[in-house]
Amino acid sequence: MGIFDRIQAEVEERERKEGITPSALLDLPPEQRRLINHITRSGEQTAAQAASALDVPLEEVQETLDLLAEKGYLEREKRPEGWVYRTRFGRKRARQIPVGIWSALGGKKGKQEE
Amino acid sequence: MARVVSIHSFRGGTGKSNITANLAALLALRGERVGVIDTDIQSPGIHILFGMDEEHIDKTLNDYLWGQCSIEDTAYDVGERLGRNALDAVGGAIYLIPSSLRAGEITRILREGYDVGTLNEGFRDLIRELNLDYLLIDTHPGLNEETLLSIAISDCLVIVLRPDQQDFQGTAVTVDVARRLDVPQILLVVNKALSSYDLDALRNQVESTYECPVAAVLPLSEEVAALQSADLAVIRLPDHPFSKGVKAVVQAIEAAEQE
Ligand SMILES: Nc1ncnc2c1ncn2[C@@H]1O[C@H](COP(=O)(O)OP(=O)(O)OP(=O)(O)O)[C@@H](O)[C@H]1O
Ligand SMILES: [Mg+2]
Repeated sequence: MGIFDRIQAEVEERERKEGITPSALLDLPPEQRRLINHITRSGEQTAAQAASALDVPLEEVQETLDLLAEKGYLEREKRPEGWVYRTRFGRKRARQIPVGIWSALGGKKGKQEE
Repeated sequence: MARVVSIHSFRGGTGKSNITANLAALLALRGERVGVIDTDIQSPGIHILFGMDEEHIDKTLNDYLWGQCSIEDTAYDVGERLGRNALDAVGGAIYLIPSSLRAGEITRILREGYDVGTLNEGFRDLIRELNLDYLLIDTHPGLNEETLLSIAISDCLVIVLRPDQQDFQGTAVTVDVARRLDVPQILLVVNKALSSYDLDALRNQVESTYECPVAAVLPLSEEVAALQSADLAVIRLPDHPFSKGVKAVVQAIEAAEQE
């Protein structure tokens, strides 16, 4: 794996554990962003509620919800009315370079020395 | 349903805190239950407008973010400033959630970061526990995670700008962010307009530049400056053009709610 792939993989793994930051919302693809914006502003939503509010077919909404949940950006809870989704925000990290980048660079350095 | 209104500007010193406090006061005097939260963790200040002494601030937003108390413990009833009788007569209420002024606590947040999810839950808990009709969020200038979160949850974003080329550019950035975060209502407020300006022309120019309504153009005023952010213009100078402008902003916010 090249160094940038490795950094990318570490960043993605960290996000999966930590949720999404508000700044990362801005970079999501439009249909994912629109859905997560709606859930964030509503507090929580079922797939059916989001589909009718956004006027998007239920299957499409469900697909995007699954994708966002898989990335760790949404958390869900089983309720009598069905699965309810909420945005999962991550920590605002201190002002320092993320640990993951150093270990990725460390890995690269190790390779060069081999 | 409570409405969340954030007040933001790309650059500092535009009048955000003064406008936020005056908006909150007018809403409360119209019988609304209002919360005002100072998310300017790096340089808090809106408590001064409500006449709150540093010594009277015990728990702050910082304590909540560190898990040392619940968010309701950081809410202070600042209704005294508006006149208790006037508030009681209409059933309004006003609460302030200040940020810490202790240097060590400010730097700790910058050094260690905090959990954005906790801040988000705090906004929701406040609305529920204090049974709020409005939550007003005073922000730090520019874009950071707390500001972006507040924009992401807002039903209305009030963007304050001065008639200044640097403000004009920065406002374009904020409007773009608000559109990407699907904010349902974006209002512009031009503050500190010189008396020599043609205010209607200025309003038209700003509206056509950003394709957003201008809720008010507020004059640069010596009387407002003389309050030194230690009092509320809408209470002390109710007939002043600044106060009338703030009233127009309240009407614009309420108009969207009725839709
Ligand atoms: N229309 C006005 N006329 C004259 N002075 C004003 C006016 N509006 C605000 N001010 C003054 O401008 C200064 C900055 O106001 P304020 O603190 O509300 O701005 P801010 O945007 O919250 O600043 P910061 O970015 O530092 O948080 C204060 O001294 C205030 O009294
Ligand atoms: Mg301020």
